[in-house]
Amino acid sequence: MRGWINDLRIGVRLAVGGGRTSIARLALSTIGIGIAVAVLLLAASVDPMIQARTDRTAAMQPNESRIDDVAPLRFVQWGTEFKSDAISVLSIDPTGSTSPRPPGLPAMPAVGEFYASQALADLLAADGSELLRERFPQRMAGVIDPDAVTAPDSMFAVVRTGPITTAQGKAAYSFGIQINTPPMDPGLLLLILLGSVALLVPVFIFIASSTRIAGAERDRRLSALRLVGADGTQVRRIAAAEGLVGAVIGLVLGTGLFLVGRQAAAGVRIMDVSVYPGDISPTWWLAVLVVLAIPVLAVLTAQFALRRTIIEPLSVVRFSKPLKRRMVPRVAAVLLGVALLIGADELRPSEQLWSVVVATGATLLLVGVPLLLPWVVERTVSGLRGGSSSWQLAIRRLQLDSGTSARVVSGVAVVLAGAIALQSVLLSISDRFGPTEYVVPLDSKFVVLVGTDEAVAKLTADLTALAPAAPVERYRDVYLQFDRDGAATNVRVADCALIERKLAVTGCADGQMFSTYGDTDRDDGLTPGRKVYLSESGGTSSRYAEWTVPAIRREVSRPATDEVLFGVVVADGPSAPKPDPSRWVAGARVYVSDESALERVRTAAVKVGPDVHAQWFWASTYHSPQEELFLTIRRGLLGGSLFTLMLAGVSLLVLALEHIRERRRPLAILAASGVPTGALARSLFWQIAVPIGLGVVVAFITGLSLSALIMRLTASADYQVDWVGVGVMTVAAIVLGLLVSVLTLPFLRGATRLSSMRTE
Amino acid sequence: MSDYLLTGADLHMAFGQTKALDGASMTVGRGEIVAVMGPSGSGKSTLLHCMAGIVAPGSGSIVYDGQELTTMSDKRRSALRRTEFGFVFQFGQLVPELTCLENVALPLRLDGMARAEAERKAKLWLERLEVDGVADKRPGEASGGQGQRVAVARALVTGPKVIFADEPTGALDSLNGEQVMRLLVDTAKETGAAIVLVTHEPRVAAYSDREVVVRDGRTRQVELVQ
Repeated sequence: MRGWINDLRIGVRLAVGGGRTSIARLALSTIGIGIAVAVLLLAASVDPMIQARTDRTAAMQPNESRIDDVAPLRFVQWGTEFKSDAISVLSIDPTGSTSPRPPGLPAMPAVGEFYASQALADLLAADGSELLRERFPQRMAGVIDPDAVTAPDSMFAVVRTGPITTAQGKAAYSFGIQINTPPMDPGLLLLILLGSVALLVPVFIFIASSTRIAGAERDRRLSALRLVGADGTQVRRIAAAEGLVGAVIGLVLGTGLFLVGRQAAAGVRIMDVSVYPGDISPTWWLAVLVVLAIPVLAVLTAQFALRRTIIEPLSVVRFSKPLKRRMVPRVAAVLLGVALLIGADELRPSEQLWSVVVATGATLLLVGVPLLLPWVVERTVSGLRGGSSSWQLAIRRLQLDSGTSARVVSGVAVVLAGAIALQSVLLSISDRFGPTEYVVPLDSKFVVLVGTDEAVAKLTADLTALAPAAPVERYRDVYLQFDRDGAATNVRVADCALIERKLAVTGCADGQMFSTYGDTDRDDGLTPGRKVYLSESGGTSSRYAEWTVPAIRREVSRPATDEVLFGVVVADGPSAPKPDPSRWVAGARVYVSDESALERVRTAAVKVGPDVHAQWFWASTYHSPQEELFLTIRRGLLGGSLFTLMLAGVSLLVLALEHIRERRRPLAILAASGVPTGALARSLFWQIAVPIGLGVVVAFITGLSLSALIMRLTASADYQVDWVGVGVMTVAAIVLGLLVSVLTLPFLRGATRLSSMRTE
Repeated sequence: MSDYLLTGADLHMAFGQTKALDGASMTVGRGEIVAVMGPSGSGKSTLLHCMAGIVAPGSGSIVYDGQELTTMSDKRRSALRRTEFGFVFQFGQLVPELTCLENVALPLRLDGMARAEAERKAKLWLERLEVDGVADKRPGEASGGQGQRVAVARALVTGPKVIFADEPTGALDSLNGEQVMRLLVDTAKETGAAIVLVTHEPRVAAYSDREVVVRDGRTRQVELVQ
């Protein structure tokens, strides 16, 4: 036991002692591991983060399930926008002392009071928010507890205005609903699995690389220990303790970075998402896994790196050409990955095993990059001859030991392979999940009002009084159902003056309708005289009135620039459909000249009440929940890819610098014997460029194979290669290599000073 | 049992196509100082490494104190290096991260001795070799001569029966070289340790009792010098 303790102590001593050089070495590996730990802890926090947001959102929702002895809380949910911020408002009217109080409020607000989320309170208090303050004329009674607000930047208010008269009003008996998340589409699940693997595999490779920093020095040190009698087991223990020191300090540093970063996250908004620091809490078992996995990985990497030193205690004295790398075990891992991805086709996506098989297969394929790259580099350089002196120096060096250089670029190559796979999968499934965008020409600055007939009429009247010259175009949208079950269409009802002006027609009168599809013989089912039903939405139960399609149908061409009247337009009059006035069928377009005019319209809309809403259309995009999820995943993955590429760049730089430091003596000797620094710089560049070039090829093949195999599992989408994305990522990887080479130049100059020749 | 403490017989070893040892043989008696001489590349260092159990020869026999080294396990050979052998090389034998005191105490600690006790013994040896002034310095901060004396102290701290010295004065000036050799030989004689001394300098070889000349991997015994 004492022997064990002694060995471990020696290992610790070797790691932390030894002056500037070993402190620098320890610092490099510690920083590397620390960054990786912080990333892993962040990744482990994603699920709790989403869960916490979902829980808070669910807890804030009014529950309309009736509860005896509870006086209902009348409420209406509405919203407004101020500049680029969306504000949600809950107007409430308790009907008794037992009415439920919205979460996060210390007390039920009195009539004429409101509570605001912190972000909204700050915005209301800010300069330039006068038009927003007009929308909340009530007294602010306090701030809503953050526990009841989805995110730090959520703009939310609970307002008590008095009796709620709108038809939109509902009754709540409690707060908090169950949000049932539907099973995820296999295509999106695959994307998440692939994304997680593509982003996390490089992190683990980064940890392994950081542990192997200064490997040659460590080999010499441990060989010296072997010389004085340390046996193989002892050396393994000493190396393990040495690796553990970096891993443990890195773990502490990473945890610190994570905690500090978590606090800083409160004020950060990335891609329209902000989170509470408290939500960034890793899943406990994943955190335990990270805490255990990092030291284990560090120890295993150290042991793996030792295999030659243990065999040869005099590796310090005799350097011979290393044994040739074997291809079979490297290819076997890749083939196993391919087999798993092919085999996953036999399983159902709803099974847990399917996810495990796919994730393992993708991991093995990506791990194949760092496994295959040293072998590919070794085989390729062994056949290279001739060239300039810098090329020759580089190739000879790579022939002697290509492992270090290959390891240096492995991180970048893995990121590249993952990114190529991701880009192609994203493109392939974007047809299915990608959002549909309706872009409105930028020169038509207008606000669209939607609401009940009465509210829209009042608002347009208010706006006309406010700015008589501002043009207002009113219409109504009516949802129609045919006899056939499920078949439905929309018509827009407008007065003849607007129809004649916008559609460039004359003689518009009651009992006419206009099809704006032009000459196209379009079967929209609206044949003159046909009886149809006005309805709220799909399903026969929502039908509330009948309507007979007008006898006169006129085919017209809609001017390309007009967005108000499209589809089938019915002239307003006794023959037009008469929707229920309490329904949100009325619309209007109000033209605004500038941003303050827009805010005035929004303010006027809020003053009219919750039965009308002013929507600002620069570019209107409708996202279904699945599209929204796809966009969220895409944003996350692209952000993650950039971060991982940056991490790989840092790794490349750290390892390249360490490579120079380890080789400073031979470099100094070459410089002393007259080799120009430029030639040495070019030689170092080739030592990175050759593996990077080969890494790009390996990454290319791996990434495309992986995406093709993944897409094979989603039979519903065609496989497409995102050549633009692939090209951008490839160029980014090459530029990263060049950038790192340039950044190492000052260190190379330092290494080639004659003083570097003295190393003892 | 042989009269010799260490015997190597008909040793063969090759690095690729290059023969390093080609039937070399040598013996070392108890307390005897044997110089292994020869031109560069003749195989003298390889012979020393084989005799010390650091590397295994391709064929041949090495017997230390009645035990065959070539068939011994790595663990046992490591234990021998730790307890019965000492090493003084030209470069690289001191661990640069450790202080001189820690370097000297290292074989004792690897053998399981408590740190305080190991460092107490190491300190005594540093004092004896007159380098206690660099005890808390790292090898890189000591002069070449001081470093080699620290290496001698580390070689002797376990009370070895054989010290293997490969060009121990190769990196030193003549005055420092003389001092190191004097200390090494005197202390070895005091403790009864044998020395296998690889050198190409006749001045250093003059400290030995006997010379073995290596040429092209073969050995030739030379009669006693003294």
